[in-house]
Amino acid sequence: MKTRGHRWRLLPVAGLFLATGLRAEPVTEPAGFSPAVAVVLHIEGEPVPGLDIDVAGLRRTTLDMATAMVGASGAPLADRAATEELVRRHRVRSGAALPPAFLAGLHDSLGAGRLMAVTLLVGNGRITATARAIETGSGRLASVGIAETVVVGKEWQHALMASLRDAMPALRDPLPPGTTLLVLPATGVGLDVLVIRQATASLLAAATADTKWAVVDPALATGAALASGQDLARLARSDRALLAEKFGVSWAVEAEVVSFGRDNAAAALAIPAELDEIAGAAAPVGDLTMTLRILDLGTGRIRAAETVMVPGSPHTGWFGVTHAPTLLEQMRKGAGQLWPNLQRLLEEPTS
Amino acid sequence: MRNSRHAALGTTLLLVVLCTMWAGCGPRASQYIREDVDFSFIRRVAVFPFYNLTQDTFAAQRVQSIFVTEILKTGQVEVADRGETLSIVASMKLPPDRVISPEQVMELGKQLQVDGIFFATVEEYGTERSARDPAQVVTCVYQLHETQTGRMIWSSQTRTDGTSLMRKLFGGGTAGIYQVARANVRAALETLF
Repeated sequence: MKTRGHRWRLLPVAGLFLATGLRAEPVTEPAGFSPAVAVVLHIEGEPVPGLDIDVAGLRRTTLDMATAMVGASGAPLADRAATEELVRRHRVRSGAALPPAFLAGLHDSLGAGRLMAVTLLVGNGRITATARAIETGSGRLASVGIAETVVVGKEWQHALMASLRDAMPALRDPLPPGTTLLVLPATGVGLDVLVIRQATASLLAAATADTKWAVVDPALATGAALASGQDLARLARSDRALLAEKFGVSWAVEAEVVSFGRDNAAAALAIPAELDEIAGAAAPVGDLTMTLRILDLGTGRIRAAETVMVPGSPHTGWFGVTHAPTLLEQMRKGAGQLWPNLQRLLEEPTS
Repeated sequence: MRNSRHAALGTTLLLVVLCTMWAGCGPRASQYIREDVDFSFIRRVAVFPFYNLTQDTFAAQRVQSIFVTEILKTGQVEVADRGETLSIVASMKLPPDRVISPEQVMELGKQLQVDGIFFATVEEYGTERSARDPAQVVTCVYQLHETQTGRMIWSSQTRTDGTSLMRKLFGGGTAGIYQVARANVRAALETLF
């Protein structure tokens, strides 16, 4: 009953959303490319104080919204029940680790040419939505979006929808061929795992904005690593060889985010000011660095590295308004600065 | 003629004052370099996980991240990937919090196929509150061991703080911990490269 109640309550929200429209791009259908899109959702994090819905309800609601958004863009949807069945069969427990067989199943069994992998990162009064459009045939990322919103009281549905809408990337046509780029999932020092996920998504959003590169979804590398008992944080020689062979690349990009703020990983997620009375005093976010390293998968040496430092201290503008950047804003800023710098380094290994 | 002399004197004085101001934030380093070693043979290196003697749980990893980037920027050596180093350190069951023997250095070098291995200990990291104005301080001891014999060929103890005469005169407080840590790494590497 509770579920049905939530669905009814969502109707006006969905109607409002459909009325306002989506960032839809015309999807053409070249030969050999299935335009059908499968939508999967994963939720990571901890319950938000004051959120009057359980995880199962949140999951159902979010999947309804995400599916509606993809459908509103004009793309045909893959069968939802069959998609869920594939998720269960391949035990896809996290959007950060997709078994290659799962993608193959979507492509071959369901005829879905694309996967929209939506992940909600829930914690400290915020909902961060990341959405990755993946070509199931190649594992290539078409586009990536990320957005966060503060959840206050009973307005969570609007907050969730706003976050999803902003994160949902446009469904592009099949991408032109590009140089394959394997970006390994980001690692972090002194940061919560949700923040590290944000870092990965921010970097991918910056990388996929340039269609010169055929960016392989890092979740596939993680999925392949898990399937063969590897640990991507400790890549031995044989592990590197496996990645090189599986994805047809000779080098990969490692990303690292280091917090130079307080020595407390759990407090690394800043509490939004709106939630001060719920979650205590607002926590300042410290400076952080983002580093990209180009790893030669053959020799195991680092070919080049680039680091940017993103200040996290609050700053006061000309009109006396003080703004404290959120971690996601820092990640975006860092990725935006880092990626153009890395282009120069990337030219060297591929030349 | 007299005017030009005054101008030159003024310029010199200004330069001296500026140099003094900048010198205020200079790191203090003491180093040892083994004289009978040809460093040009050290072409490929690895970085052993840094030791941490501070209260900050992540101090060692933070400084190590900066160290790897800075050493790559010198362009003098190739650096083995951290993942491979960790993988082999784990497979050799090397203690992460103890100094390893020359024999273990040689074996590690053999497996990593490197000519040298960097070690470091972070002794101080964070805000020093004993001074009148709190300042960020980083003190590290860096070492380079060659893997052919396992012996130490370079060592540098470097202390850097975030205060400077410039900052004291014009305000702005202490430099951030990242800038201080990076200055520390750079000061140490300058004694090697």
